[in-house]
Amino acid sequence: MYCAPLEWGCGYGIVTQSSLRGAWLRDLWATLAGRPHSPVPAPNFTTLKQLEIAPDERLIGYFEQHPGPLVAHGIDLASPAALYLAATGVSLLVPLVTQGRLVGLLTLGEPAGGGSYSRDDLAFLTTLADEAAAAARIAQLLARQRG
Amino acid sequence: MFGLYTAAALFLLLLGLGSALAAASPAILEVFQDAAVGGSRFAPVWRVIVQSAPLSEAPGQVLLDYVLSGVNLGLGVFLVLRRPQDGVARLLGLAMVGTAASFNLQAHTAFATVDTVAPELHAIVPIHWVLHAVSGAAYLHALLVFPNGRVVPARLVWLVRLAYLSMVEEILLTFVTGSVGLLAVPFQLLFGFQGFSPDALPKLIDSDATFVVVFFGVLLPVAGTTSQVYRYLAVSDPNERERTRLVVWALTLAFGVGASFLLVAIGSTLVRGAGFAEHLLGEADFAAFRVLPLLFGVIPAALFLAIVRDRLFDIDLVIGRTLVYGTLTAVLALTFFASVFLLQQVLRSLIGGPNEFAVAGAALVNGLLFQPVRRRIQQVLDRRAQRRTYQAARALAAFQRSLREDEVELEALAERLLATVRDVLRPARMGLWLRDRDPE
Repeated sequence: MYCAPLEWGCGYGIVTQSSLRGAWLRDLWATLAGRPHSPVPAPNFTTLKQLEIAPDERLIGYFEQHPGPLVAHGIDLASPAALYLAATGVSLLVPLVTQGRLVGLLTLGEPAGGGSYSRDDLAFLTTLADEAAAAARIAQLLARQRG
Repeated sequence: MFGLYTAAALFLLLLGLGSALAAASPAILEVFQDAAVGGSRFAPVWRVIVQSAPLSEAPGQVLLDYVLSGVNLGLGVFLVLRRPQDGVARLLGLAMVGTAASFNLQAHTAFATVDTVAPELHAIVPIHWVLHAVSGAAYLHALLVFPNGRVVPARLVWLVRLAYLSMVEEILLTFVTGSVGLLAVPFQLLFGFQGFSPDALPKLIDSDATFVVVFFGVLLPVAGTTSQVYRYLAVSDPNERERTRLVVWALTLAFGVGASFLLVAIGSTLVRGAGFAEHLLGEADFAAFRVLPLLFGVIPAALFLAIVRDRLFDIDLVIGRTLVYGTLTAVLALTFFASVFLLQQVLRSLIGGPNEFAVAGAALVNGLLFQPVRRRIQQVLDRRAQRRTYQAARALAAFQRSLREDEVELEALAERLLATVRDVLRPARMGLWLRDRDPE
């Protein structure tokens, strides 16, 4: 069963897509104008489209078995979520896994400046995902306690 | 054992280099001549160098020889030191170090004189052939097991056994007979090469040149390409395929050059009507040593690059250290000279003091400055040269700190996570899906 968009009670939840195209242009302009780069604006949480992942989604099982960044075209799962991700220009998937459970999924498009993600980038994302997953798990537990 | 092997290669190279230096500079020749007539236990070495100096190659050829040998030797030793547990790297190290000494034209000059002026050093002749034998077998083996250490296809294992059998036979025969092994016999017959004497040097070079072409231009590429193409099609994963592709290109290039060279040489000698056996390479025998090593150098270079590409050593670290310590050396050198100059002026005007105090004072200043300057340079380079790594480390630290200091709500966590990723990686787009309740 797949949840309706933002149907929180259904169990699985939010997706945000924020476009960063143009960020490099702002920075370039700031450099040319001799100004410091503009402070990073708050994330644009304009929801472009909802991703719903059912509890029995094979993608969840896959990431719980392989908790590391995955290049999107490497997914070989015939699942609605995987098809959706492939169709929306996602190039890298970073699972947030803690204690063997998937608590979230970070999706990235290609780097805005072109090229691809380096091994150092993947190492950075892995560490970040580990930290975020543990924090997310705690947040979930706290939320449950609060009722 | 590898150290001994490398030392033997280095010794042969230094003999040739000594001859070249003696040929280039009368002053150096005089020094060697004095040493040769002295009673030192190394006198035979100096005698060989002095007597073989007139046979030396032109300076340009010597330079080319030693640049190539230096690259081969350096890369070979580097691979073995960096990857002592990697069988392919060790094989390649053996091959490259042996090639450095055995295919150096200038290093061959010593053989022409050794039996005449220093028979007690005759051991360098079998050592030369040992280096040939070991490097040849190691090259063949390395190409058949690259990159994962297994012979592919497995039935080619007989070729590896044959290579090592030949290697053992060459080593045993050269030591027993004091001459050359079975593999060299055809070349001996072909070129009428008998014994080591100044007259025999061109024939020895003919023989070795043909061996270079046949081995590096035909045998190695055919065996290597067969194995690597089969591996590419049937066995390799995508990462291995990428590395194999580079090596196959290099082998194809070497094979094309080697085969063309042989065909042209054979064709030209047939057209000229010269005897095939005596003039296999025609006038091109020395060219084999002058040009082909450059082209055949692409095989070890490709193998080396393919290994390096797998991050078998951290090139970023090497570059980073070079930048830091290069800049540090320049800064400290400038500081040293500036402080010597200043202290000299001050001491002279105050007490007419000696220069030694200025030098000691400058050294003290440098010693005190070393760590602070190194730290500062490191910081600046981290910020500029490795900006992304530096930025990532800082962003990660900030993210971790925020998690420790604040009680985190899911929405706030999502915002921070996305902001951190965006600041460091700047993806064109990104998304975050979070389970909104405990998966339990």
